[in-house]
Amino acid sequence: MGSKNELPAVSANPSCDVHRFDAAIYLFLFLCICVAICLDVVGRYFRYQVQERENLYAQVDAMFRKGAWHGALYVHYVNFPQNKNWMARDLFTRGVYTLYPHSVLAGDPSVPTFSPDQFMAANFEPDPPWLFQHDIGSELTFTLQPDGLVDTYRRFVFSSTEDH
Amino acid sequence: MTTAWLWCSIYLACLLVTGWGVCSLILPNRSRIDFAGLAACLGPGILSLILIAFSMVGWGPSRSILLSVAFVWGMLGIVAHRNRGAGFTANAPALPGSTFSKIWIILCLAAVGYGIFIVGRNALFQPVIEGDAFQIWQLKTKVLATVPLKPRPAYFSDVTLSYSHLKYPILVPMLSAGVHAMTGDLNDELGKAPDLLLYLGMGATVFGAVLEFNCWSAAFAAAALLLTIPNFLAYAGVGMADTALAAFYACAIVSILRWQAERRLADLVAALFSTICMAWTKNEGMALAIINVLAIFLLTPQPLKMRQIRLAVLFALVLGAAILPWIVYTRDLPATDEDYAGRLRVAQLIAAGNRIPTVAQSMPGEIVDWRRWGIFWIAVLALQLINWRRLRNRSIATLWFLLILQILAYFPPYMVTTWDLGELLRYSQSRLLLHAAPAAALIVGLQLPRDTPKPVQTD
Repeated sequence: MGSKNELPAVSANPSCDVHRFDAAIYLFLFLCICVAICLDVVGRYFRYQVQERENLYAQVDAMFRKGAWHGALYVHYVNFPQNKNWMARDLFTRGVYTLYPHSVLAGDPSVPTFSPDQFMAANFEPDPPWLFQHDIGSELTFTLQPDGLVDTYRRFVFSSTEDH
Repeated sequence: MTTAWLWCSIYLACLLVTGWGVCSLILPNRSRIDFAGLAACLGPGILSLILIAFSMVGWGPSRSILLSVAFVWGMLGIVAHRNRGAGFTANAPALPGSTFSKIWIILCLAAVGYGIFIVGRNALFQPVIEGDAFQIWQLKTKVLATVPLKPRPAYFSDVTLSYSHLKYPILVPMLSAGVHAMTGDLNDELGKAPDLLLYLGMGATVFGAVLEFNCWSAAFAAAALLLTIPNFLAYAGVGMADTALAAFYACAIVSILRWQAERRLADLVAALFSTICMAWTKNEGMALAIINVLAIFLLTPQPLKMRQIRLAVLFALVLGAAILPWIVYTRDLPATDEDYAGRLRVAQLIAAGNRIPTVAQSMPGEIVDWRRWGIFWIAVLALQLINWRRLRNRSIATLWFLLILQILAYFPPYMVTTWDLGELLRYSQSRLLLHAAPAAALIVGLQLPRDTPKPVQTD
């Protein structure tokens, strides 16, 4: 460093290794580091719920993989109240990620959907001609029931429909 | 799976070789730790930019491209080292002899070890479970790993995927796409592996700078403080772009400080490369890039000298030219998301003036949120209050200048956002402050008491 930009020595006696006040500052920083690590350890078990989220997304991924067939997958939502719009959108975004490059739709592909409310407003129950027109080979319906999420599947072969 | 791990390791080695080559060319005479830190950050950044360039002319990332690029940079690095001799300097102070300092260093190493363990777990073994990671960054990763940018993939025009921010910069997705190109599949966990390298690089960069400007104990303290912030441990390695932006920003800041101190063009070039990487990482990176230009223009020792003005203008021009391809590529994409750039108009900002108090009041609340930050920010402020006279030091003044401007830069987007402001602040503020954390750690490191007397400079 140039002399104009030099940091002044803190210790009155630079030959002394660590001044008492200096040691107190380092101890304070040690406390900072300990607090941070303790918070992370506690947060990892009680706040972030990493394992629970891993399990949840593994289940959701399995639902989408089960629903994917040829062509695109259409996702339809039933019984989702407005305060659960974010959940419906999260499910869809997870499906898009899991199945990529396989296409996933949840509404008309020409309608932009950014917020969860826009997303749910665009979601509808499509009829087979519409599905055929958009090259959609399967439909996954999520129904929100009091005891949890129920997934049902339909697969389509050309213009004929088979439920299973 | 073993093969995937092997290819992933080779990819990480390619990133390091690229970083080594870049740093050998532009940064002779640095200490080894400095060099390692900058190489671990700039390597991923530069290699990703090269992959983006290839992709834009129609060649998506592939093993042959990755190995060839790393080979070329490795050769350039060898040539640079042969021409310039060893290339490393021993400008670090002597190791402290006191028992206190030795114990301190061991404690800090243990803390850093914990951070590496947690981030390593996040990056290498945990699936992508963070919302923003799979909605934005890792989804783009899959797109970029599957198809080149020319012809433009259907993804960029798909308005049903607006939630993934179609226009967001793509450096981090391309960095992860490199893993998939190397391993040959869209493996969920390993795409986040480069995050670990950037986390380590950020720590080493801050460590190297504080060691050069101050002492060993302070360097270990700054690195351990930074790398154990609860927010970093939660978000580093999960597949988002925040660690990458913080790492590039750390490199840019350190290079700017060195340029101020020694006025070497090499440091300005390193700052430029880091700033370009920032701008390609996140929209916030573009704002920080403008702040870096301001710092280079205003905070030089002789700001009105023609040479300094020319350098600052050249810096801004090269930076602008480097980000122009992405601006051109995305200019006709549908603006169906927040479109902050389109909303940042004077009239709109004036109309949203009543939001300023809400944003301003949320900042103090965020920095004292101990669950996210521990007492990191309190320590930064407390140490500055104790050492308030050191604000006269150019390096520390520069760091505060950058920090304050960075926080102010987040006001306009918050003012014009279409989201519920309170919800957005709660969700995003902690991650925005992560980008500022390296500057804050440097502020701490530069002000800590020395553990050994300053070495006498013989030249």
